[in-house]
Amino acid sequence: MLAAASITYTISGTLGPVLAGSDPLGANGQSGVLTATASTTLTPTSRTRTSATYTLPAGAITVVISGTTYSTTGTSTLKFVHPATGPDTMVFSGTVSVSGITATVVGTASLANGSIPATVGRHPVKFSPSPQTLTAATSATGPGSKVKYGSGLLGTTVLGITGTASN
Amino acid sequence: MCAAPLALLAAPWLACAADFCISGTVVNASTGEPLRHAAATIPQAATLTDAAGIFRFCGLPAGAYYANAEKPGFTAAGTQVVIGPSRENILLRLQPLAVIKGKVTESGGEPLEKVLIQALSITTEDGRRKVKVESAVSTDDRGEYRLPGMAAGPYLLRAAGWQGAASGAKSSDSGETFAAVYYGGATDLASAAPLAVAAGSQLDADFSVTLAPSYRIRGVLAGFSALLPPKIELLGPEGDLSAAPVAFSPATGVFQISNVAPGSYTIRATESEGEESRRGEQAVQVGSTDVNDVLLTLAGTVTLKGAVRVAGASVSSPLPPACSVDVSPAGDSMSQETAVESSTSDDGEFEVPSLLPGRYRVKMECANGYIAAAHFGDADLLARDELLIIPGAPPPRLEAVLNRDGGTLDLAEDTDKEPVTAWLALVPDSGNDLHTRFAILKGKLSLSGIAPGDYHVYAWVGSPYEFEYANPEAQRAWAGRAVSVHVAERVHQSVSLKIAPREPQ
Repeated sequence: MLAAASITYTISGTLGPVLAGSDPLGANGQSGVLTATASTTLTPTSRTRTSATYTLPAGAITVVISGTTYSTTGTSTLKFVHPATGPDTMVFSGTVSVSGITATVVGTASLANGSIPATVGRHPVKFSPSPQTLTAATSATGPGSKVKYGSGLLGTTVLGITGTASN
Repeated sequence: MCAAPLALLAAPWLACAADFCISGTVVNASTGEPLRHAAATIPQAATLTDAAGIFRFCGLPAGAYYANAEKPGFTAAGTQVVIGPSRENILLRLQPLAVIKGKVTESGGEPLEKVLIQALSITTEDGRRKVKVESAVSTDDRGEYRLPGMAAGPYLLRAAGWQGAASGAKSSDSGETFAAVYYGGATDLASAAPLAVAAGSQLDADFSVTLAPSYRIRGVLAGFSALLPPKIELLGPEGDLSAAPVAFSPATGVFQISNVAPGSYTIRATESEGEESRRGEQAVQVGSTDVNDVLLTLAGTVTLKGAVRVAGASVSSPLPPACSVDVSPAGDSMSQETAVESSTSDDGEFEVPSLLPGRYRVKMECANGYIAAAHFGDADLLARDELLIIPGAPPPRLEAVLNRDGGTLDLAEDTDKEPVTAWLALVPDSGNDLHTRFAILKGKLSLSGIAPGDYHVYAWVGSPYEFEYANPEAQRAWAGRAVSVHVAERVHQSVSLKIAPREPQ
């Protein structure tokens, strides 16, 4: 079986500071990498004039924190937002199993405006330039790049991420 | 240019060689036999296994992949695979699913048709037992039921009640019913004993229930839209959905719930359109007569607003409060509604949107600090971390105070062996849930910003859901495993933990 062409989107860097929550998994200060692999034949499950959301199969999003790899256990989503003004954003969202806990992980990469082409409304496409630098958000609700994890047991934690985004 | 997989960003000379393969075998985990026609996938492709259970994907760039396999009658299994070179020996072991079956009879031995049987999985949320209906089925005209496709694990089995009228075997139009009962005879969730279900097994679980007169609840729903049929539900004291049949007249708003056993209930009406919802709830006590003239009024969602301010000696700190605010339905251990999340912004303000009327628990956790005070109107959330959203009224603000002068605990496992990964719960003797902490312990862990006071520290290996640390009975049962510690303001101290049972990892 030959695989269809795909694009791997990556957010990598150092996690921190803690922007919300108590960080029960101790991710603050650790290296973090999120990758999402999307087939270029996918079509969006929802879209607007300035955004497109793709549903990805199990395992399509991988989270690596401090060298330990976690993969999404069910379907996950990849959302691209390309507003007329302000930063473009790429949002990875999925559920992973962390040492027996099922937790939701959401990674948000804040990209330069104009990085994501409007054709992302039809199929996954590459953003440009790549790589580009990610600046950590300074608050959980404000702009910038961040990673959120949580569950009923873990509560919710939001961390900034400083590093790079590439595809 | 081909995709450069993450694992090889440091080795770009490999990243574009799209000629690697992933192959392996899918087997029955119980017997070791290969599984033919199992669906094997990687995110980019899918295939079926051959007669020897073998799958193969080629033409892949080097990198990290997730290989998954599934087949009806088995649980899915997957694994992370890094290729470059190819990997030819992946083994995916699928656990065969189990079946729970049985018969429901009334105390005279007559089979009961249309009894709702539920299999509930057990977990904990925020230190409390939480169950989820994994599978449900009704008994047939012989009073028999069958729940196929059950993954191995502990379950609570529950005869939830009678569903509507039926013919043939004794049915619910007889004016009698029974209160929900768990397998083994328990009538409440706290005392129900789990049933261990092994992979591929067939378990027999019969119920004998005692019938008693049933009653009706009648009332009127106000404020509903003629275009949207509302959902009216009868909920038991644990948030469990009753099997009692509900009739509703959109012309008059009159509803009737039949076949209700005596007990405490909440009637809930919900109307949804897209992301907009409205809800009305009314508590009802059913004794030995019908209940009439219940009024339910639908009300829309509200946004809970509030703020966290910084206090204490660190008040001059320029750092904004970094707090999460999670609001989840209170008291309903069988409720499937999830928490609504929010976080403080730079000025400490937060908004929790889309809350329907009802009772909620609030969980506030902040980086390097503790909640020293929290009020929702007149309600002191440190005394009881619940808030009530009243229909038709804007909620008061939630005002909280963050103190960064808490104590710090350096926790470490006391062992001469390789440290294990364990779960840790720091539970205040005061019972104040807002000061409870849960974390992962990998040999050692530093927790800061802890509210001053006396605590018990519990550490355990295995399932994170094993210990209901917010349940006083569970705390007593685990008392022998706990370490007592006193936390003082701005004091840094070390705590040594013996972790039991300590199993090799």
